[in-house]
Amino acid sequence: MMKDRILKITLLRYFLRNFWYSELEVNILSKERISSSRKLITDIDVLALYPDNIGDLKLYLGDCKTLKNQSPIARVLWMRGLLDYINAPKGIIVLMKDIEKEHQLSAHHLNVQLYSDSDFDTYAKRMADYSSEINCALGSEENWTEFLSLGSKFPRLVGLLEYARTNFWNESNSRQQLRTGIHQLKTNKGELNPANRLHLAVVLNQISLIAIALNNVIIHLFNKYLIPTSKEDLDNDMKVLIYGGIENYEFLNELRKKFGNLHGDDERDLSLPEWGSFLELIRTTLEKPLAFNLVPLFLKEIAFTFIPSRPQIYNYAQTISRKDNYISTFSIRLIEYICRACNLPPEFKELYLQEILAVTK
Amino acid sequence: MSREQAASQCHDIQVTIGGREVPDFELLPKIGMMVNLALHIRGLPIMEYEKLRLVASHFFSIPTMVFKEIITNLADIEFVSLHTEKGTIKKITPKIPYFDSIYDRVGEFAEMTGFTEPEKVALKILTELSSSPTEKSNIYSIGADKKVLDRNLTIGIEGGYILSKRTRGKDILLSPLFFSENYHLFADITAKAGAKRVQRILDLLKKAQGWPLSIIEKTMMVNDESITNDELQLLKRLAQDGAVRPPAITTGHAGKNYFLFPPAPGKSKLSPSNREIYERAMALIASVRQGQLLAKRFPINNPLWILNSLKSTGWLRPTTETKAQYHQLAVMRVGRIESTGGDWHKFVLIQTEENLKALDLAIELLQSGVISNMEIDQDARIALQKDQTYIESIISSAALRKEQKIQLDDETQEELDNLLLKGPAL
Repeated sequence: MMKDRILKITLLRYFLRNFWYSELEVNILSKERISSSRKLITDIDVLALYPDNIGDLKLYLGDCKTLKNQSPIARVLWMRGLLDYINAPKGIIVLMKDIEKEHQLSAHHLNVQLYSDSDFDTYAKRMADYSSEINCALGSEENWTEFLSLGSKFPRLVGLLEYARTNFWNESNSRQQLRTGIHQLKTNKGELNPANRLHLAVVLNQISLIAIALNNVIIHLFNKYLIPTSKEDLDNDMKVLIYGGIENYEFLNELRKKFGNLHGDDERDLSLPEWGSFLELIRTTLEKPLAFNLVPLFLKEIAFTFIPSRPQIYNYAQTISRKDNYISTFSIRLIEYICRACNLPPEFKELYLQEILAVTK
Repeated sequence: MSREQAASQCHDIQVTIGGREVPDFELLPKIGMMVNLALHIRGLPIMEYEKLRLVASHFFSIPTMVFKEIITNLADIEFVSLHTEKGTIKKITPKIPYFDSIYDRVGEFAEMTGFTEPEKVALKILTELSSSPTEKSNIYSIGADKKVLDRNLTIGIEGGYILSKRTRGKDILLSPLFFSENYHLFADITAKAGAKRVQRILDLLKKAQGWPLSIIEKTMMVNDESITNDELQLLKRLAQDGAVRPPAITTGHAGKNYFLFPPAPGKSKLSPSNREIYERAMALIASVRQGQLLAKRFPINNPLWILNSLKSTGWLRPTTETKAQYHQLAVMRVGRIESTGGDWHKFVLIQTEENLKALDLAIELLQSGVISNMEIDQDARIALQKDQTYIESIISSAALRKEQKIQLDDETQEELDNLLLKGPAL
């Protein structure tokens, strides 16, 4: 178990060296069900998101096992099934044992990389930049141990924590992730206290997930329409895009009008909360859509710096922000929007902005 | 708790729970009904018993089966005379005193009859919540049996006179009777700063109605009381997020200034028909505070004198600052600004019933810091002075309206919106 964890952290740090959004121990649920709760079918040790050629963030699954009694190719076949199941293009398996060449060649045919831990070390050193000094909150095993055990510390936040570890990764598409991400934060807002640094970490982690969904929504919008010419165009296109097509949108909008108690501002059509600010955010990101790719990672790294641990001076967020000035700009705009849309206590926004401004100095 | 306060809180609770039956309460709603009825029939001429019964049912949610008991109780304390024929009450003459407190007399009646234990707890809880929202755990220190307290909180929440808000991981209780707007914000600042600090700030605002935020920031004082930096931040947040509903005045020399007021009370203290009058009163106070604290050449020494002078003469002497200072009042049609040559203008009150009431209320707010006599529903008084057919038509059309659609409260609407946000997985 301990050896598994060391391997996971090694793989995680490799992903971080490539500046890919990374997540440890993600649960995968059954897509269809007949029982009232969704069933866990497997889990992913380490997961990364890398941008493809148009800027869409794609899943890269990592599996790390000591595997004394199982053949490596059997694990590869499991990984291939999982890739198909959650629509991920690539996977990597690192095992603590030597691997036969034939197994590696077969894995390659299935779009899975298969390495022993010593081979992976050689591979990683040549595929990522290990020469520069990077001190990263997301690369700390201590931080992850703390983060993954928050459910027992804050039972009332289990819904939000579970969403981040499970539900988000099981949503069928980015627009659904965007809506449910905001929905979940709004649902739990009463439990969130900015005086608690761990709560600050949980909320910013959630915003980083919303940023993943938003990245793909923005990239799709840009690739289809480039920059909408008017606010009205953006308004219509975004509503239909976010709510999963015109039929679904009209159905939900009708439902709201029929059963809601609408007055004043509420009389407008169904949309995300603070819709005007959301449209402004989207329009701003279209200035440089590809810069949004790194916003989720930047936010997650800052989220992890809120986890109280041994005194550390981290420089990873600073390194990310130096790649493009728009990364911190978009991050600030997104935080402002989410804090307002979810009606979070104002200190959340103030403390996050303070932190971002400190790393971008 | 004084008997006046007890009767007032019974009224608050009864107005909020309306016609809903609470088996735990016996005397409390009756006292509330007595107060409500007395407030509305003061000064009215002799009226038909039947007409009053219908109006009381429709406007004050007094069930017809207890109406007779309520009116008899009012007769017992000599608030009405009953005119009977063969043992049946036919007519009623209101005799509600103008110069004695209605609350005190009804409170005396309640004292003699005696509240039950759950009723006493309900009144204690409301007293606790009248000055500021508080953490739920604080309520348990009022010294009552936990079971009775829990049941009482359930009644209050179901009845709508207590709200329980989860914020910053704490359960905050507050009463919409005293915090009718932006209760999310009040709950949040209570969770952050504690009930005592919120109470202190609201007390300061009550005593210094309409104090400008810029002066508070500059002097770190509200009137003559100093505040801490944390308290200033709370005040700024209240102002920015609209909880204290600050009217703003823009002048060339002092820029834009916000004037702070305590939260507007709920419908039991401020009937919906009087809300506009309250807003006009706040604008009047803001204008004289501008002159008192942010004047350029013509400072007002005592805002109360100015308002009293406006009441007696109907106008204020011309100055070169009048135009900007009273502009908002002209927009709200409280008065008009007349040129007296050059930059000099005078402010003239538009003598309508609403404006005169607003002026009286502004004077009262500056004097005592509290609102009184704003709970009267004018529609009910008008109905009482019309014939029975008019009342019957109002009741039947209102009943039809009620059946059209179930109205969601703001919170349920927010929940519905959040549910639709999640939507089905597609």
